[in-house]
Amino acid sequence: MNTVFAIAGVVIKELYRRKDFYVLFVLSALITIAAGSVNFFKDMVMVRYVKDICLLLIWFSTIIIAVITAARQIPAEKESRTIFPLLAKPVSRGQVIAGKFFGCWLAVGIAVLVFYVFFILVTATKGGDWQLMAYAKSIGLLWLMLGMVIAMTLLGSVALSAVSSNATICLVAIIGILFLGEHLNKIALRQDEPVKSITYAIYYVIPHFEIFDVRNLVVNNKPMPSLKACGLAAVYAGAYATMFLYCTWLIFRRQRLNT
Amino acid sequence: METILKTDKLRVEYSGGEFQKAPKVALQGLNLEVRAGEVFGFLGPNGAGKTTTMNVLLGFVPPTSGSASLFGIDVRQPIARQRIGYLPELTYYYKFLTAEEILRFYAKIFGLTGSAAEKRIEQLISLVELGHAAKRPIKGYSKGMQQRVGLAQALINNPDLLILDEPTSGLDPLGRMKVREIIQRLKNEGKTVFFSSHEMGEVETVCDRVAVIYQGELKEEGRVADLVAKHRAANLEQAFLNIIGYKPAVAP
Amino acid sequence: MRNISTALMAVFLATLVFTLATAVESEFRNSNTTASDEGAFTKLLGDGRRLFSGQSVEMADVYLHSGFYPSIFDSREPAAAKAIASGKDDDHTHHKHDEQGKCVHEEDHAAHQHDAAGKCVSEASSSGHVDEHEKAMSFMDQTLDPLQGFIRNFRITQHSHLENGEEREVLPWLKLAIELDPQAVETYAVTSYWLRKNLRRVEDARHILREGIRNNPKSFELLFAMGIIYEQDDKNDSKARNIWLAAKRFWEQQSSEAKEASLDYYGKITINLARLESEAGNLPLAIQYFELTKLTSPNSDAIQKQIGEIKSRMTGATNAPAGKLTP
Repeated sequence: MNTVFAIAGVVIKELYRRKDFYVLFVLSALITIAAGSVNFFKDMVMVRYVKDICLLLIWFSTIIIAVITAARQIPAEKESRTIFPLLAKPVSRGQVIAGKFFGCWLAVGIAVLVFYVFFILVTATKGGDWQLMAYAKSIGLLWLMLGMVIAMTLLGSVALSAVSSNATICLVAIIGILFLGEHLNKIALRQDEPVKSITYAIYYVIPHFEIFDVRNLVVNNKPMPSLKACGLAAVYAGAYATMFLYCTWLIFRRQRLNT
Repeated sequence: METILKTDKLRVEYSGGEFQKAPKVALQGLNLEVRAGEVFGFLGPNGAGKTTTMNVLLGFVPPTSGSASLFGIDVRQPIARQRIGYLPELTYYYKFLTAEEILRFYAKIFGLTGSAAEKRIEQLISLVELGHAAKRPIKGYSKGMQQRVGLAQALINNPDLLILDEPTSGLDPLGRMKVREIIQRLKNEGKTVFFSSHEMGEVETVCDRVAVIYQGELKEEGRVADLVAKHRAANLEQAFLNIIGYKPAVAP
Repeated sequence: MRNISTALMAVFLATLVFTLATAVESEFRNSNTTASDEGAFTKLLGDGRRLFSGQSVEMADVYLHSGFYPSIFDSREPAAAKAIASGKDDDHTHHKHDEQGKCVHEEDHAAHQHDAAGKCVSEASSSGHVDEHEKAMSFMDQTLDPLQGFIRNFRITQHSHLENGEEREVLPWLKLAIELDPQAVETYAVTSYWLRKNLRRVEDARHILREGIRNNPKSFELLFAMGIIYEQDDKNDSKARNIWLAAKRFWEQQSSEAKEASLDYYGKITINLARLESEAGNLPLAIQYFELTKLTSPNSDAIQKQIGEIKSRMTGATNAPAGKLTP
């Protein structure tokens, strides 16, 4: 585990020494502050739209950070040849994948926390409630989802050669699932066979990232999912992430790395 | 003496690609043995298979057939690399890390943490003379400085076997001298060094035994003096040229 | 030397750029008279802003339902789902009923029949379109598969609306919709409705309507809404009458297709004019307006009944004081 955490530590250092995170954070902060500072009607406290915009920006930014960071990991190591001194140590390829995954996941988790702290402060100044338990669940669910995203992107990074194509495909897939994922069953019902069966199969097979999207509950001050539901969601996320990482290992362990 | 490094009928083939049917053979049944405590030179022209051999030994490339082992452990096991250090020909490290951070990272992989790790890092930085730049990110280093970082990381675990791929490539004469000094020091400490090089002069100076590989085949192996005498050459370079069958177009 | 010339070149280019910008801008303003009226959104988005405006109104509707809202994949009738309302919906899709089912809505709804207890009994009864709305919002009643059932743990599953002043949360989206499409008359009407009725911000409602009328001077919908404010909040019948007459005039100037599409508004205008005139004692004029209302109202029997009452007042008790219409 030392090796895995050592690799994870390097990933975290890399993320916070690059500009991507800061650019996205500053951009999100500026947009949120701009949205929040507009005075629609005097004396009326309106906070939901600020929460909505801020949470949307958090989701957008953290997904971008997760995909871009994960997509770069192994290809960048190969391209910059830093993978050779690493694999020349008693490090297995599985440990490299695990280390990269945990590094990206922890780094993105820190990013989520920072964004959320900003979000909580902004909404509190606009008169929103301190729904700390709701926010904690929301943070946890987003973090779990990002774990699935990172695992999926890592798989793409060993399967596809170009970082940009992997990142693009992953982003399109993620956004597509977020918008359409939970509606595929309704779409399937309206089709004829065999399209109906194919659509239903896709519905069951895809990772349903939208499960973890509880922004609507947070914005509208609705009760959050129970701990049991969150636990099941965590198991779901863990299962998909494990499957993606296993497939990544299966592909990566056979790859020839020529110095 | 204990055999540290061994290959047995090692064969590596690369697929011929879409339009080429025949696979390219990089190594043909290589049998090699390196014993504990010796400095072993691995010589060959470009494309001979030296780097492929090293790639197999380090687990970067799986062999098509045959086997390779380090300290009696199959090279496909990560634990085989527990007691080795590797310096690649082209040294690239994480540009956003400092030299100290890189060494700390590699030390952690070997289970070296805390004050023991810090002490070792300090020793190595002093050895490679990077004290003035240890806290700067690597991206600002010259090639020579990066090479020295590479040497330091190769020695972080006090390895029993050091694998060096063209260690003096691109270095100035002072840099080459320092590398030779380090190899000599390691030899005095009883370490084993396995390195590839084109610099016949330094191979002749430091190596106990050499092996010459050409077109994926092992041509000759033995002590430097024995090879020179066998081929009635003036020096190792001439012996090498004879071994690979090189005939000059113009008489010297 | 090279550094100096590079810096000088940079300064020269910056000067050129700014000079061009100011010169071109003033030329553009002189040649294009409407340019100065266009906001940032118009310049940035062009006609696409109308699409975003519609989306903003939909967002307001989502907020009104506290996030419980069907997607485009759920079977729903958009009109029935929309509580934020269009102008055709009498502005009162969610008007309130007390525990006995008695309507507590206002006079712009006067055309509905009510029984003695004040309960709506007309064809376009409130309970009728409440049922329609409930049906449209029943998209969560069915669970198609276990996965969907699990996903619903993370969704809002209760149909509710904002109330007790929280309706203010829809305002930013309505304001944005107005900014994006200043010609969307309905958005002004809806915004002013929520400001006035639920949030008791009459001045803000008036301000919004004024802005709407400025951008849409011939909008009978907005003039009608402004008339409601004059009558009910300012208690200024004369101003209300004038503005409703203007609204009626603008309505009558439309093409026949447009008239056909907005008959309900004509009914509202004429019935309120009738009511005003009746209260003012101008009974023949009131009857005239009622006759006009009858032509467009689906409840012509109820209107005829009102006409009968006024006629009996005219012919019967000549000294009877002018009073409010009976519900």
